[in-house]
Amino acid sequence: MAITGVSQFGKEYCTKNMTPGKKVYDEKIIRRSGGEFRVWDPTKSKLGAAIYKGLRNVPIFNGMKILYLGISTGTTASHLSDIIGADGLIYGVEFSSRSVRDLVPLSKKRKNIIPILGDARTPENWTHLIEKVDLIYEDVAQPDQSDILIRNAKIFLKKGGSVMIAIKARSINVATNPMEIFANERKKLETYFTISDAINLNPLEKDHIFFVAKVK
Amino acid sequence: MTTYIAFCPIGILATNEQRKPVSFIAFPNNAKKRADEIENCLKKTISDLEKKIISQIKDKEIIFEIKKEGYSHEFPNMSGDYLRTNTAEIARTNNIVKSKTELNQLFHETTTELTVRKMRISIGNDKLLMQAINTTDELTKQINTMTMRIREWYGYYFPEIIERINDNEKLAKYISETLYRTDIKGIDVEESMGANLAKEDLEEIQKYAKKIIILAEEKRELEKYIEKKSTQIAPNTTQIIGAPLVARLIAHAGTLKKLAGFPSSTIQIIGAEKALFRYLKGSGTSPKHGLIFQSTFIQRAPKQSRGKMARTLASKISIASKMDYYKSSDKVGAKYKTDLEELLKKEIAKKPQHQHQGKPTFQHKNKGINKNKQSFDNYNNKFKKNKKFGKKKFSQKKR
Ligand SMILES: C[S@@+](CC[C@H](N)C(=O)[O-])C[C@H]1O[C@@H](n2cnc3c(N)ncnc32)[C@H](O)[C@@H]1O
Repeated sequence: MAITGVSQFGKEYCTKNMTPGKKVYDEKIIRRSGGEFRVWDPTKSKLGAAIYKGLRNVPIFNGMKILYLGISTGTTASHLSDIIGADGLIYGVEFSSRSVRDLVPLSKKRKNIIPILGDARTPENWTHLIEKVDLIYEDVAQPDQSDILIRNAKIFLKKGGSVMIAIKARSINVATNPMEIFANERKKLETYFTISDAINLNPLEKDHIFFVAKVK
Repeated sequence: MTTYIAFCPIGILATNEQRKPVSFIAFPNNAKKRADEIENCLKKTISDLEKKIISQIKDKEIIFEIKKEGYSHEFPNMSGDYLRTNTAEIARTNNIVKSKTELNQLFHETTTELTVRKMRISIGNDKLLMQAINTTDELTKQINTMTMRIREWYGYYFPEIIERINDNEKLAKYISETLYRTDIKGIDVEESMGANLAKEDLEEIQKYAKKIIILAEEKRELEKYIEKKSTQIAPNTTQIIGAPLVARLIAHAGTLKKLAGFPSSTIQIIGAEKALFRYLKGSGTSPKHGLIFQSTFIQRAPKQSRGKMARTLASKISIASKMDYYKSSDKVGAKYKTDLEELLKKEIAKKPQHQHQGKPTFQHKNKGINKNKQSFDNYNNKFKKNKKFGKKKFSQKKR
């Protein structure tokens, strides 16, 4: 099964560079007759890691709108940006102004990324900046991140929309066994979503799980 | 009947209870002006455009999506939901854009403008203070490294003086000002074990010594600057624990706002995250004090009182930093400092005498050097710790 917008060359997964000649992080570039491709580094992107670990059901398509919570400097977002193309849009929420400082120049080159300096916990402060979306991607490394996702999904997710969330056991609780934490978070998410995929990111990311889900 | 009002980058929308649009006012056709209007709508007071839309509504009850003086609000509200679902359609029917691409562009330009404006004001004095304190730490480390080098280097020529002058800056001054061996009490130049270096060899060492002096001066100036900034943004807290420690706490917390938001139990262990982590994982004991351990109140306290001292200190810092953040006119700094002094006196008075016994001090011969070395080691440990925390933060931010 292929993933929309993702090409495989040998062992590597790539997205077609929407800004040829420009790299985003220190990713490898592959040139083919079809154009220039950016290798998705699974050690730098959790979605990248999930794909390397076999995730095939990635709910993504050209022209879609995405709300990205915890976009940071845009490493993963840059691949999503390649995939959704010029008609799509990523609303990237990030509360660290230092990260946004690096994100703004990226968004000037990739007009489908919109940088928002804000806290995922308080959507009331930035709701006025976004439309409803087809996908919410969350990677905020916070203990209450499942609740944050549910709250945002209720407000911003279109009917039939999907979510992807990366959960780091340590940011929920350092003392509890990761498997127990994952089961717990799954239960929380299942109050609102139906989970289609759960990918353990070991060893690419230690004690991380990646969920893909849809609203019930 | 109730009307709901909400806004987004294209304009302000009012809907009725059936979620039907009843009125819409488009924002001006320019990213900067749009951003201005959005900023106006974000204020607690009613903006001109909001006044205009209210005047078009017959209903008495109006519900906004965010807090507005004199009105109720509901988040999210019906109008906001309608606006976010039908943005493209509203934009098209009101002739705001001709295509999807144009709409995307409008959102991109307006929000980028707003984000950049927010970024500009996010850099406050606390960030400057953080850079300054981190720079002094780096200067200290650099000065130590350079002095260790110069001790080796100049030691080829005049090892006796290296042994004699423990103070880093004094040694650098000696080399830069005197350079050639001179008789000093107890040191006979004729007897020196040093090699006879040529003028050009010595001059290179001298240049290096001058650099150390410049760095030490810079560090002192930076310390004055820290004192000034810290007093400016956190007068009460600075009065209690002194500027460098205030700066370090703010640097760890990220901003004064965050520090002020911490409960005192967190303030007590800022800077001891590693130990806390070990404790939570089941090895090690719960950390009693982090950065605030550097405070003289704890340093001067007898060992068995330090936990208590740290708790009290943390709670005072917690209150004082809140007052500083909210720019309260109450001046609690001086009083808290006296309170702490009194508590410290009491604790010292309680101190059992046997603490003083133990090893007799018969190593005075090397006392000076040892003292010096110890503070150097302490410093290095501290630095290593900080560096690790720095790294951790960085790798978190990276993606
Ligand atoms: C692990 S990083 C994200 C990496 C990014 N998803 C990628 O793969 O390129 C987590 C980010 O979430 C941000 N973050 C944490 N809590 C947040 C919150 N409540 N609101 C917004 N951003 C948050 C952090 O500042 C950090 O940049």
